[in-house]
Amino acid sequence: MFLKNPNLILYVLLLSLFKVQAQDSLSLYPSIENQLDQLRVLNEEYYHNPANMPDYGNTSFSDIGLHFQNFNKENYLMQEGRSQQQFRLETASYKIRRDKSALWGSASYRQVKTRDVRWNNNIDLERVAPLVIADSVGGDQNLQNYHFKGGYAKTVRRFSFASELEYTAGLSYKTQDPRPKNTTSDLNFKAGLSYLLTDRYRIGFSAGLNKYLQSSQISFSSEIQRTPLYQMNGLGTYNFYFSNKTTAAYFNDFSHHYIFTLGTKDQSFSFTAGTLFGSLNKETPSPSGSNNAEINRIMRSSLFLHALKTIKLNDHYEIGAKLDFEKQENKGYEILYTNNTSVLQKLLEKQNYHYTNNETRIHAILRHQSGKSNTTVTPYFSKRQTTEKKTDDAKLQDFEYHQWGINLFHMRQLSSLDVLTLQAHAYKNKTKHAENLNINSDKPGINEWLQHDQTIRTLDYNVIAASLRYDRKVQQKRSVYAIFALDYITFSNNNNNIQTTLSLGVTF
Amino acid sequence: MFLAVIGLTFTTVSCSDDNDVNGIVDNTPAKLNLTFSGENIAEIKSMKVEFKEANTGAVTTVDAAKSPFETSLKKGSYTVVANGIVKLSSGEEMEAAGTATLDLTQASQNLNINLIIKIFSEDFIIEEVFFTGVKTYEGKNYNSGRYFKLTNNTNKVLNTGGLIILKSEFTPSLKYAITPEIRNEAFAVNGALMIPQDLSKEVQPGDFIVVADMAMNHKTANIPAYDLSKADYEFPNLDNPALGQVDNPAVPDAKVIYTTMNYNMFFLNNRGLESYAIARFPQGVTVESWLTDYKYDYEYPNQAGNITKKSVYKIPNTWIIDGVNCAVDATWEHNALGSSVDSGFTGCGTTDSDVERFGKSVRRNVISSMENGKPIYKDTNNSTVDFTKYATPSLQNGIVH
Repeated sequence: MFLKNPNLILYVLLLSLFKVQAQDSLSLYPSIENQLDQLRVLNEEYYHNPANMPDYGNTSFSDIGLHFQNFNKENYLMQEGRSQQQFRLETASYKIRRDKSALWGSASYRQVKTRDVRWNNNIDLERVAPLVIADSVGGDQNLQNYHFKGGYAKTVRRFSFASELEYTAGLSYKTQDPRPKNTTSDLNFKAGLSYLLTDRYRIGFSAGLNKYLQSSQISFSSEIQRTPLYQMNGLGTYNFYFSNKTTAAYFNDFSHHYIFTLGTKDQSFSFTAGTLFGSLNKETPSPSGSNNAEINRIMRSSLFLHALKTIKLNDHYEIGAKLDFEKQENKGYEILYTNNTSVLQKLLEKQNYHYTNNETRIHAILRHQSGKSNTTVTPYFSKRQTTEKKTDDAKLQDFEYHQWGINLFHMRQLSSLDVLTLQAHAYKNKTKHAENLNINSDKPGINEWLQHDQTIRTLDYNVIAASLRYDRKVQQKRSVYAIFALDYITFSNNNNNIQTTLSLGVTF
Repeated sequence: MFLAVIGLTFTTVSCSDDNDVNGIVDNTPAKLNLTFSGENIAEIKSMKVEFKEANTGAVTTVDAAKSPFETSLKKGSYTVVANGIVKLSSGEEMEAAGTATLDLTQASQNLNINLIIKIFSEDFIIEEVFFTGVKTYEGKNYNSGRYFKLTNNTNKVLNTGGLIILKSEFTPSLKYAITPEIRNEAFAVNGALMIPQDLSKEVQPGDFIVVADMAMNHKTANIPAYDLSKADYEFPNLDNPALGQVDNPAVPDAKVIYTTMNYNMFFLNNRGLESYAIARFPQGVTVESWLTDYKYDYEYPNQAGNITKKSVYKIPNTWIIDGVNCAVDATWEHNALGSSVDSGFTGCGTTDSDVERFGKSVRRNVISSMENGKPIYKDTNNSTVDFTKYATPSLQNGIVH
């Protein structure tokens, strides 16, 4: 419904501006410091259990923002596109109520134009890869995206109960052959429970369900020529039978996750551990009939663990550390068919694809707060290893990356009406290991793509990203802000990727 | 209570996931016991067997020097084509070919390939088919200017009278469970074009005739087509105004004796998704008697679960003097001609609607020269090796004998 009527979504977003409840009476600096609390950012995973949301902030706050982003890439993966222009209108709100309940929600509308996307006719690549419909021509992809989230947590004595519902819908298209039209819907539901063990510690459990659908239909305006469409299987391989014969794909992803949390109300300690299990199915219409045939399935599982501890040295200084660990595994199954029978029939299934991603990250945390300024410095080191295999063809791609970086957050009160915030992030990404076995194809175009992306993936790069935010109080309970951000990425082949962002917004 | 409900939901989901993975096989190759059989075949001298897997497109070739022969193969759905030399019961060595299908799902399976002795005639061969046509410089389709080039590959003078050019009913990219299956005995056709006896001409060894849709110079400022004004025969269609074809009174017309197309058209598929053959009626068979006696009614189950019934005509393989299967690599599933006529396929385009196909033809390979200096063409009844795909049309500079 929302996809058919974009005006309706804008109306809802604008309406939410006036529906937001007035927040507690605060001067500007504490209010902005509360909204941009870096410990809350570092504790992000802890709040994936909605039952922990009563501790999310000391005060209520709301935000409406307009964001314009331009990302020009000299180095890019072909399936992700060369450059991107994005416009986003979003609103978010967090409200603590007197009856010990918390309400939160967000809504956004996003328009993205991505130029020169090749070997990918789908969206949400991180979700459906490597099972995309690919072609060598590509083109500019236009995307519209709508997102809504709402949650409610209620505390009864020492227990907190909470649930959260989130829905995202997307529509993308290209305006030259081949012309994919992708529609997506993504529904998330989470429910959680937490219990105050002591006045300080809260233990909790949360579980969630996710249902994701992507429908892709590709058309051609030319009647005499069509670029081949490949139903990809991974690492440059494709389903020979359904490629070149089918112009559609339907992705159906279902997953469920479970999270255990233990933390303190003041965010000085948190431990989050969880696991996720999911299944992504890809169907395509049978070339000679009206039935759909399931051609791929990916069974997903992941394990994640996050732990944070900070210690207050005195009224101003706080130190700490955070450890993140994530392990992701995807097992891919190809469903083989036979046409040697009277009608196309499923013959057998082969487990033929395997992907793992392991990442460990450790942060040190140093924070200084003076009441008129806040400086948070978080140096970190991360190690990431990804391995992708195709069993049948003995294909292998294995990368190990090390990253050293530092995040700097500095907020300063200029006057009772003005706050200036500088955020800087610098890091160095080094490829420690890169291995490729049999990554080639009998199709020259696919070979070119694989070699191009392989080169990009092995490059070392340095990143400097900085943003400057200025907040100005305009009314007793309302302030406006402007952010300018610049991300500069320098690769070892001397190419640069540059992203600029301009944001304007109102906070309550 | 809340946790109990959540737990029950997830337990149900987990069970469902477990059921999904039933029927998964490992990647261990299976053993295949291959045998060959065929009428009057006493011994296999050499046999090259190609296995093409439908889902991966992978082609595995084995040289089977005997029957039975054991080989290993990855599990999957295969189309199998065998080409080789066999020794007959009479002691004579002949070329033979056979096709089969195989769904390999077990650790060990047997497959028998029925071989058929290849048919060779001392007659015309199809040297070239230009079915793709050209695109105009504006990128539009140009419907005319296509041709057959038939060559006398023998050392004697041949007569064109009574030659029939045939077009297949079945397309290589769509495979149905046809009943009755007649491929080893006859060719199912949806069009037949005949050079009448009264328009016959003699063709010297090594020389050729051109049968074009329109015998005219198709080359214009906007169309990069060829000068076919010196064609020997033409088959313009004047009934369909959309084609815009005209008759050249100076060039004799071949006659469409049968077609399933509207407006009595004999129109070539520009993607090359059909097979062609040339044949002669045997003594005593006329156009009328063929149309009376050689009807082919067939049926197949369609994807909707119903039976599709169709009626066309057939030409016995023994009447065929040459044939060529055309297809696109990416969509090929089967050959319309029996393996005794053509056990391979050629084509223009690796993918369906390949933009590179325009202005390209399929041409037979030259293996030697005749005494008169004319080329001798390869003819093993296996167009995969006999023809060149994506060839430059031989008449792009006009018809020069």
